[in-house]
Amino acid sequence: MYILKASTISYQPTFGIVGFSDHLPDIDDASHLMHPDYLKLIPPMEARRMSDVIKMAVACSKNCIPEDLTNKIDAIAVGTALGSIYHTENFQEKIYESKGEIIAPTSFILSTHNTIAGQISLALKNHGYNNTHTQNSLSFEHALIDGVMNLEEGAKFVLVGASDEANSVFFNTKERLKNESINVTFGASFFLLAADKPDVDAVQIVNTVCSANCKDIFPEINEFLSANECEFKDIDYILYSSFEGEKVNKLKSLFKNAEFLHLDTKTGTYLTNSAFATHIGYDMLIKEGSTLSNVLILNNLIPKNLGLTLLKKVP
Amino acid sequence: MKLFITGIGVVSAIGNDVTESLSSLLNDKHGIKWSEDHNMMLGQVSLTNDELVSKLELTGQKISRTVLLGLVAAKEAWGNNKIDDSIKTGIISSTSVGGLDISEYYFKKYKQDQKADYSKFMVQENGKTTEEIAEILGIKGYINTLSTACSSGANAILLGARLIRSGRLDRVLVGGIDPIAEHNLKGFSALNIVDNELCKPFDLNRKGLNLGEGAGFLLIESEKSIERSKNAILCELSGWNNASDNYHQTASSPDGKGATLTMENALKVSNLSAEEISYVNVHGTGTINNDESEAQALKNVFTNKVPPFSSTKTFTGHTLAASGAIEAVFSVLTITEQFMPNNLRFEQESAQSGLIPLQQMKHTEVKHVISNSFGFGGNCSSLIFSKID
Repeated sequence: MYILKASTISYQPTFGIVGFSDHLPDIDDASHLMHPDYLKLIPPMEARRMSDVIKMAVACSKNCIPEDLTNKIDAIAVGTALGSIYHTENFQEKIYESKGEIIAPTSFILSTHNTIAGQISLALKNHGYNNTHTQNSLSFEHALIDGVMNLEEGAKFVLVGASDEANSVFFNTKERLKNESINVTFGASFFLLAADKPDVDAVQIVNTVCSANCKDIFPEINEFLSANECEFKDIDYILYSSFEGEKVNKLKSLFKNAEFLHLDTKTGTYLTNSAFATHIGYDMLIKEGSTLSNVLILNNLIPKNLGLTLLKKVP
Repeated sequence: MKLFITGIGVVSAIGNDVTESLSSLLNDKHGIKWSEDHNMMLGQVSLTNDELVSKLELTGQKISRTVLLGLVAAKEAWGNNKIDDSIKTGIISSTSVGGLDISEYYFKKYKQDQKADYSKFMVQENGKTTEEIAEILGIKGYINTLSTACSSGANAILLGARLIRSGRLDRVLVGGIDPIAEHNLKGFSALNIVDNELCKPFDLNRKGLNLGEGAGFLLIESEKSIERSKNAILCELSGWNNASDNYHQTASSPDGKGATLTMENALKVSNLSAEEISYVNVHGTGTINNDESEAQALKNVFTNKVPPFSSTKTFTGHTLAASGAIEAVFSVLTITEQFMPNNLRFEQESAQSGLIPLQQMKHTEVKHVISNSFGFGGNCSSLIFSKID
């Protein structure tokens, strides 16, 4: 299964830029979301109603699907930890303020988690498979597995991605992760996947797995590598999310040939930032002059949840 | 590879387990009542949160009703099964609101004193509800939550089926849960599609839906898994599909495009022809729009020979994300018990659809059943359950 194209809206200059991974400063307090010109991709009337989580997802989806493939997408799988949290809270506000009076349904209509995937299907005029995974820090990996399964089942082209929006009353990332030092961000990343290898150099998704309620990540990593006929020494780059120093040191001692990047330093921290990391990994492999072959995205943002995604360059 | 249902669990307005629910379905006993608290017709589970906590023998902090209802159905479906390292086991739940019932409670407090105690909102996310259920059942590894509005439960079932087919799992506990949440009560009221009397799906004079709550869970196993578990087979899960209506965020298309596609594709997966379907458990919410669109889809798929069909939402109310899973449990029961439930309160056919649902419970041969679920975002899903020869 191959990545044909990717698109990310983030706190970094990523949107529509191939090779962006060369120029990623660390996220700091001054970083902010870099919105593209949505009106180039979404009709103004529609864009106005959309909250960030929907607008980013629709823009990324359109951006990563070439025009001639727009009506050839067989399946759409989206991951979102919090879904349409802005509209959900907005509707709660309206309920609170209305004191029993009639309320406009707009926020309610846009509040379901699958508004994101639904609006993408409308934007692409798509009649295919459409699903929404909402499993905290593993939401993106679950969507990716779903997309890959669709390709295994015979789909030719599949759109997979993740989108999450800002902090809210309901959800405070620092509180949730019990970590005051993180830079909380948000964003969306989408990928056009294909069953067949394109003629040019390509990036293969070798495998993705999710392991929840996992007490020890190391046996899981061993199993993942051997299932994919890979050894520690074969991995040359690891994008990881973990705030546990000891664990990271142990990883470094195992993967002796790999360069390590704490992905949160580039993506900021949000529950689907592994989607952005997957785009960074893809960009690193595909950009001109890249010497990398195997990139591992190791998502252990929530310590008991592990997501592993292995990307490989196939000339 | 064949997939089998070997466990079912359900809680809704018509019963707190499978036995009670079956008895209600066989005896035309619905569970929708006027709620003074909410000023509307509701299909509520008879147990309060405190009663659920003690039934489940839980202790501790404020637990979301989503987790409580989910646990009742999940435990019943899981039964006496044991964690076995040689059987790759997963759990997929689904919900539209997650722990929003708890958030709603604390949100009001927050609005009053403007002090956000973020720790109170820790159960908000959908994923958290499944993690809590998995923890209690001892399931680890593949834990996932879907949220596709009113088709969620059906999508959990079909994702589970695909994970087994792909070899990623051997057995999977799948289901859907939604509690009564003010968010949904006010939301559907705002959309003006709630009937203040008892709903009448497919009737000419239908006015809308009644909301409900509950949870349904099913255990799906491969042959390999059954060899070890020795579980008795209830029926086969023979077909499934999900398709997009691609018409409108909340309304269904008049030509029933998405519903037609999903039923046709599910039939292809099952290798069955339309004529072989004995019964359809329709989505049948009772809104003007849904029933018109679904009737058209039934006519598209079955041409002039639409099989007997009924909406069990006339018993439970529309349980949203749970409905696909609850109705899947009911569909399994129609096969194990060989009957078709009534479509309560139907009086007059609509000239537009020309379709008449079942007007009484019927003991009859049931071989293959389609269960339909449609959600916001044009999300359409069909499942097919088949009797084992």
